Amino acid sequence: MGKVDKGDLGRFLPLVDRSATPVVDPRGAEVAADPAVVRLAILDDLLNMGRANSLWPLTFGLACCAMEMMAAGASKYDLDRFGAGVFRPSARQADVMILAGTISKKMAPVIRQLWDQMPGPKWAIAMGGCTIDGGPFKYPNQYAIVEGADKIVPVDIYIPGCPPRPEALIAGFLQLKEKIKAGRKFNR
Amino acid sequence: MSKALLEVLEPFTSSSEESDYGATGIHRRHTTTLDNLARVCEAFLGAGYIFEMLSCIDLREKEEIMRLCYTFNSLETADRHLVHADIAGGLEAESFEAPSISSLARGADWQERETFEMYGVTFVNHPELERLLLPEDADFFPLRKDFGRIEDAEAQDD
Amino acid sequence: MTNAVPPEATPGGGDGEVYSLNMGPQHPSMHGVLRLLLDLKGEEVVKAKPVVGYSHRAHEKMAENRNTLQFLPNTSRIDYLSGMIYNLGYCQAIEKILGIEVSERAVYIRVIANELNRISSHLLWFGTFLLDLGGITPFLYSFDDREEILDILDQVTGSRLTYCYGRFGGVTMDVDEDFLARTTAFLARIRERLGMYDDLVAKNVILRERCINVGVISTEMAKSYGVTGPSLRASGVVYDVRRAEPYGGYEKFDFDVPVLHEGDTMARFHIRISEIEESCKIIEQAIKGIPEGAILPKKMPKRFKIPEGEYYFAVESARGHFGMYIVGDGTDVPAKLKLRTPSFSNLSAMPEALAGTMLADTIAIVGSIDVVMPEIDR
Repeated sequence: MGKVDKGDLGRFLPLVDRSATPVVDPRGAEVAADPAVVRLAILDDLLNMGRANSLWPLTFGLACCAMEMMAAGASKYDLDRFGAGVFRPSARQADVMILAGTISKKMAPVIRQLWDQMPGPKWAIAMGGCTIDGGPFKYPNQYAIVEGADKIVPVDIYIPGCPPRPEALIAGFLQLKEKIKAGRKFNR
Repeated sequence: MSKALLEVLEPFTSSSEESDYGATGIHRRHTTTLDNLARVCEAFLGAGYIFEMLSCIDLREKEEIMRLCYTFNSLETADRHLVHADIAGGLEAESFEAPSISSLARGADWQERETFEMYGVTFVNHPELERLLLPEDADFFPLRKDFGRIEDAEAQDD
Repeated sequence: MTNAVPPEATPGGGDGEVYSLNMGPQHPSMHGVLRLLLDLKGEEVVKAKPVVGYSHRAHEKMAENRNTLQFLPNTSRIDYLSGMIYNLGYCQAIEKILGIEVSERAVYIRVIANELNRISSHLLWFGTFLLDLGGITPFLYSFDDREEILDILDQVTGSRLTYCYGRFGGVTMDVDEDFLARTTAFLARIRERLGMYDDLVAKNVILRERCINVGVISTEMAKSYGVTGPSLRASGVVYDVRRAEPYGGYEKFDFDVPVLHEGDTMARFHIRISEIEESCKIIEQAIKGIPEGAILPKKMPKRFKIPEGEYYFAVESARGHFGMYIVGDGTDVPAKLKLRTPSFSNLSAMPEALAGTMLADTIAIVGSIDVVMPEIDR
């Protein structure tokens, strides 16, 4: 079978091939002769590519960063070109939760509940200084906010800024895409 | 500031003086007692003023009072009046009570709830005095001076 | 076997059973983290109770723990859509208290920045209001217009949303000819766009059916709740802080205060569109008359100590009357800083305005009030 060198497509192999010939992984290492293992890994890569290129965010603006998230979804900085423009209001239909804004202690249980409602695989992007470690509202004995989103949900990407520009959010999405595509390295 | 309004307010305020609007943004300040508070509010609202703001200053340590500050403003010609009403009580006082004016000015409803949860001032006859901004199970009054001071923070190992 | 359902089994049917619906802090309409506990009888709202506080960030406590200069970055984050107005408003409050002179040029620059911010806030409201009602296209157009304003202000201040442009006595960066040229070009653009929005949106029969006579706030109700801003002006009261208590140079400019008397959602919509036009007029006059000069005073004190006493300063934000009540004790850390935000009072009128309306109208009414949750929760 000829090797089709088209970048990602080069890894595509017909799934019904049940021959026992050893298959060389396109990244160079020679893989064991068991075709099933190879095929599952490639399937995994395919699925990850699908997930990465069609991330559906949850509409979840908390504070100021929400405005920049909306601007990123609007016409000038279009998130839709990256497949991530379909904002879902329901947590059950979303892949990625963009935590945009300060997390107050009153809101924290709601965030956890929404995170638990999201079906896996799911990712979280912490957008803005407030979700990284409290941001401009962090001071000793602050009674009202949770200092950092990673105290509530496992965060994959941190985007600094106050608020980060829409381009920064897009850069965060691209980084998340790379992380998803490199799936096996991150135990997902 | 009409003379008629001043005359109506006269018996219910213990002091009433002009204030330099250019420097402070307030036209006139008054002091009243908790018992006369409702009458003062009625006088202002009856003259067409609106209830603008309710705030509280924690002076328990300095003067053994909790000071309530109300501002009333006229929408036709800017005329802002600041009314003080003090609740006696020091740092050891168990509770602070004040009459509610939410039946007179409906905007006071939420402002009194916020003052209640931030300072612990209970407004008697308020229809639904419960926490507004803090979680329902909060048991502290954040804007009191002895709460949440930076000096009292435990050393954090960031 | 009949399909007839006995009336008592249907909520709202027959005598009607009231059931509760939670419009939780996370929901599609773009108001931020507002939670509405609705008691519904079928589609009719019997009682609506807003639960707020999901965005409480302790601004007032921070003000008591920071000196006057350190509180500047907080000011734009109170209401991030009128961030420039709040930031400059706080500067103007401290300048009034301390008697700091502001140069003419800085006054004009502030007015231009304020009005640009107001236009961008109204444009965002326009887009999201229609998005709530189901019209997705105007959102994309109005955000495109808004991006132009954000680029203009970004060029000067360095930030797009939460500005810290003001300093006590002036502004940080000077504007150049390019800024003025871009702003003038933007004015021409927005005026043309407003014509398009009028044809396509304001005359749209679906919008008119959903907004006319919906959510009427009477004058008496608005005054009793302390409602201010476009919502008050739509209910017949001519009150604009820029006219009532002129500050920051607004007495020099000639502009109208639009007022309508119906008090319904459509009136609030028209008022905000008219306010965009009025802001354009103000910006034009400011660009024409901007003098040369410095933007900051030469000598500034290192610490800005607030003398003992109580002070109140109000500005007109895009949502209404924003007042700062500052209690000073002689040091540069205020003893008390109370932020009287317009959305707090505007939203407190909602339970009464929503009772008796239909569920679909709830979104339209709450959207037309234009609330920003962090401003309520501070």
